[in-house]
Amino acid sequence: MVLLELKNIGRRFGHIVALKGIDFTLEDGEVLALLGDNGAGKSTLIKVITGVYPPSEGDMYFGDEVIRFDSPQDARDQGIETVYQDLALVPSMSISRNFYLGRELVKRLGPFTLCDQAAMDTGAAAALGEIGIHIRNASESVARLSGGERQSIAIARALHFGSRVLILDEPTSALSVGETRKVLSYITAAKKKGIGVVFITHNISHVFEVADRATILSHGEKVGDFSICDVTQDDIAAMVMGQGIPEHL
Amino acid sequence: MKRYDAIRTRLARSPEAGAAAGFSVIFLVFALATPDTFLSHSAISSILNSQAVPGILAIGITLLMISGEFDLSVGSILGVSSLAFLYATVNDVPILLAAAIGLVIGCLLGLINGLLLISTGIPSFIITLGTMLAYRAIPLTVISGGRIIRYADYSRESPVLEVPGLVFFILTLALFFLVLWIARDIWRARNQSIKSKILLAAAILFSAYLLLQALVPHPLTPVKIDFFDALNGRVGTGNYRTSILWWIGLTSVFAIALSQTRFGNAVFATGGNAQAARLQGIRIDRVRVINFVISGFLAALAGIIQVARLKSVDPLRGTGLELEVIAAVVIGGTLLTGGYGSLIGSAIGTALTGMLRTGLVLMQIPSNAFRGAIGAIMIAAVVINNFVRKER
Repeated sequence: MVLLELKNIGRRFGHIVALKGIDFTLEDGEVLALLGDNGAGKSTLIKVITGVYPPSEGDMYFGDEVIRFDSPQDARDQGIETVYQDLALVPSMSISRNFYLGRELVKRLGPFTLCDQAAMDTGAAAALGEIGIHIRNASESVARLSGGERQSIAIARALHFGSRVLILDEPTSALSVGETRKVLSYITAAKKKGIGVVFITHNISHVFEVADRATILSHGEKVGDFSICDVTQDDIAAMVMGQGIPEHL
Repeated sequence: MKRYDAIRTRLARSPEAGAAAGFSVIFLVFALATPDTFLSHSAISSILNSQAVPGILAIGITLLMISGEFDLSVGSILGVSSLAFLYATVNDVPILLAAAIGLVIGCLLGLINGLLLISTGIPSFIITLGTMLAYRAIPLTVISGGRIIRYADYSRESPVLEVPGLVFFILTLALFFLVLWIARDIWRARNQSIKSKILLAAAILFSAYLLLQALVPHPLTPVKIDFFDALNGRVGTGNYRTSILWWIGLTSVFAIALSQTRFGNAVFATGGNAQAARLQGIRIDRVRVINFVISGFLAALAGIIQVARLKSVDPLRGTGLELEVIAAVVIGGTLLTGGYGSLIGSAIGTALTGMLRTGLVLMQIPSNAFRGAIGAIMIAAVVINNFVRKER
């Protein structure tokens, strides 16, 4: 079933055309790799989907309804969760505060609403444990964690808050081999739960490991959509580098 | 060993640890050097009385600094609000309305800072440097050359706030029900020990006692409150003033708000990583503007509290206060880069600067050496805090 559909999406910043005539679909339980060279418009497209940059033109459909996101909060309310490469967590805050940031668990104290820190500590530890991340202490500062641990927490957070679409912006770019394996396994786990996953990457071998389909962008326009079964790594590399669609496709 | 480690990490993790340690050392030095004079009520009360105003300003500065912003204009806002409050008072505006005018002006000047920040995107250091000069122009032009507005020139009696008996009764009752309401929620909360339940019962009984004590002397007769004394009058027999209670009370309320509420989380996140906070749905611009308004409000309140004691306003009131307060906040462990800090630390830092000023005088060191000492201690505090943070 089609979960998310974009038709003829364009986005301008002043005179600069960042995206033009993009059609894009994502089905539930599908892993879609979003590929393209630097400046191809991958991040802009993701920010359109997540409400950071409302589109200048075109329509978005979520389920069967036309939808418009004017803020990241709008997208989150619909279950679209995003994990940004370096922007996922606040290093100076604790794991549990990061986990529940903007969605804190609260308790009432007369007319006042206070954060329920104890509930957030246990809740965050339990949610992380569910996907196999074991932390020493949920009140520990994120600054002490490795890049992989941070990425894991951000993904666990996205999965925990009932997302229907999970968007990952270069989730493996700064990780060690072992950490990369883990992150790719979370993607497979999300797919099994029926979540639609979009991930941006520069590593084509990761695409072949976990993705079902690849959408390739170049200079703000879509080059094409390909099922992973139909293409080779060389085909994809050629298209990412702007050499157009290989003749045999 | 394990226990020691836990305490050590906990200390290292609290921003105020360095300030508390520094405070203890300096306190000991003064106490040993001049035990007779330094450990007297007159010295301690003079330190606390003089630091209440900067201490209240430090609350707003700390909130802003944790959210990654600066406010150099608090001294000027204090000047403008003090002038507006006293000017209204001597022109026979009812005292409560005059105070409200001062506070609203403080909020508005803070709001201007915040709106300038989010609409221009210029660093708040530059914006508030500009508004510091611009706001200062207001008292400088309104009060002509070298004049001082004195309350005593207009009236011999302190302004009295007359609360009708019924209003007083209702307010006391409302306060009592608020205590009961909070107590009920604490009682219902999970895993409460017997000890905390006994403490709670004691607190309720105590507030009931206070309620009765407040009501019995004036059963529905009007209550007259000396407005200046309520803000900054003497308490008890010593020279301690009510401004100290305002400082402690406001610090406590804002410390709870900062560490225990969703807003506090948003403040830390905005300063710690503004982009990440925004992408998690936190409205970072709103957080910044609110903090500037809080800072303006507190500057105005501090100004009114100061007027309540000095009973005068001169055009340069509050000049230079901003730097002293920023130094105290930095000594208190709050990071200039945002995302990390503590209001308790700022209170300790403010007390430390006051203690240093009084202590050096008592040791008969020339008072001008004070600035040098503050500067050296501030730099030392940052170096130590950075070191401790790496250990964390």
